[in-house]
Amino acid sequence: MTLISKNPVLDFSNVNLVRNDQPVLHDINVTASEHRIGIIGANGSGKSSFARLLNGLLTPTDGRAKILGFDLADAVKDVRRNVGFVFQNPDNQIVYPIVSEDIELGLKGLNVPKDQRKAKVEEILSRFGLLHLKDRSVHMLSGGEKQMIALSSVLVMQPKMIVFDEPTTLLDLRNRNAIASTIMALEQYVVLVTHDLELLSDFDRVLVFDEGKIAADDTPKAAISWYKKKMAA
Amino acid sequence: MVQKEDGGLMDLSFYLPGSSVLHRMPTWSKFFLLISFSILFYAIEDLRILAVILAAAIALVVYVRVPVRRLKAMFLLPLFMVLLFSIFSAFVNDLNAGLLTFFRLTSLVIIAACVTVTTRIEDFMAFIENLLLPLSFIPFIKPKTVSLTLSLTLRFIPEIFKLGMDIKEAQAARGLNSNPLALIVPLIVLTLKRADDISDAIDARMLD
Repeated sequence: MTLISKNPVLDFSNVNLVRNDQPVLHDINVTASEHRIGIIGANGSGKSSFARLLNGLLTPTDGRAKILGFDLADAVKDVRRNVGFVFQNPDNQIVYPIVSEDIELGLKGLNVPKDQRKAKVEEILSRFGLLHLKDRSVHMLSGGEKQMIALSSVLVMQPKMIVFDEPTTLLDLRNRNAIASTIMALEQYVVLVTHDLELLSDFDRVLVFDEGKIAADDTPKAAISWYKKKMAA
Repeated sequence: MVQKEDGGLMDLSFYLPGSSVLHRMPTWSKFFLLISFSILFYAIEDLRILAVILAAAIALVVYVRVPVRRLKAMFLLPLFMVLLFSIFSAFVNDLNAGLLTFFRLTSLVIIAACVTVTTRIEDFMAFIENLLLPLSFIPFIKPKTVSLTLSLTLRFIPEIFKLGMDIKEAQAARGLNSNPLALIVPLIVLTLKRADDISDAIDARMLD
């Protein structure tokens, strides 16, 4: 399914970001309305900081950033409510020791009544064939299962967009493939930061970050080819 | 669960799913009973009655179906502490006082463990939140923050333990297995980094 919004889902205008007195992003200008957007770049190129702007974990030092129409300057809560974030290491994302309790936690924050919370947790776990893990301790899960639980805990909150920050880095090939096919099946807008270039082959658009700037912005084939040449130089 | 160096398992996921009466009781009533028992047991001076209570507490463990493999992890350290207290009491007072201490504390440890394994973390946290609610007018007491902190502690003790094991293994591979600094310094640095990442995740999940 290809979903293209009439309105831009990302609208960045002259965005700069400084962290710990170091400039991280310079003059980012990008407007995007595609369903799936990939982000690649060398380590330290600013791609993870850019991803964190999309969820309001960071806010621009200057410039204007709008996500799904919400301005980060005055609507961070709306941004967080509508943009889910899946981290590289699911162990940092899962807060409660039992699977169902962790997934339920986000719903509790949204003041969803208890009986509805239980039903929603079972629904999301069933969707991914993970219902048997419901009462399992998080420590007993494999890396792939943990990443799926982390994704479930985001999806259960029904965000409009999901940002993934290198979600397959710690996974074996089987789990990497499972996460990849799950991402491709998502109805939500997806922004995926990754070093796994193959993962982006069916994406709609790829941004290449280099030294805090968007150095290339193209179709996956063209952007990845540009990036490979840049890395080989 | 965390794989220990000796291949054993360190289990900090206390809850055991089940449908016993204890599982179905509201959390507040379990804690009310636990506190009531604590007071009642100290009012009883008869060893025969306390022995019956201990037998009933052991029967409770069987009733809530705590797996045998969990018993050692759950009771070894607390019962060792009880034994130390009892021996101390016997030396300071007399044998009868030592036995009274042993029966009372052992029964309480067992009943407390039964409450723990039959109470979901989420219900326990909700109970703590409700308990602290009347104190929320005090600026630094935020019930939600306290319950989240408690759950994070339970969740991440095994993770930090595993991190320590990984660092120990890595340092041993470098021949630094007898150097405590080689374990402590990276453990502190990585734990702080981890705390930073977890803080981001909490923000991203709107739990702040």
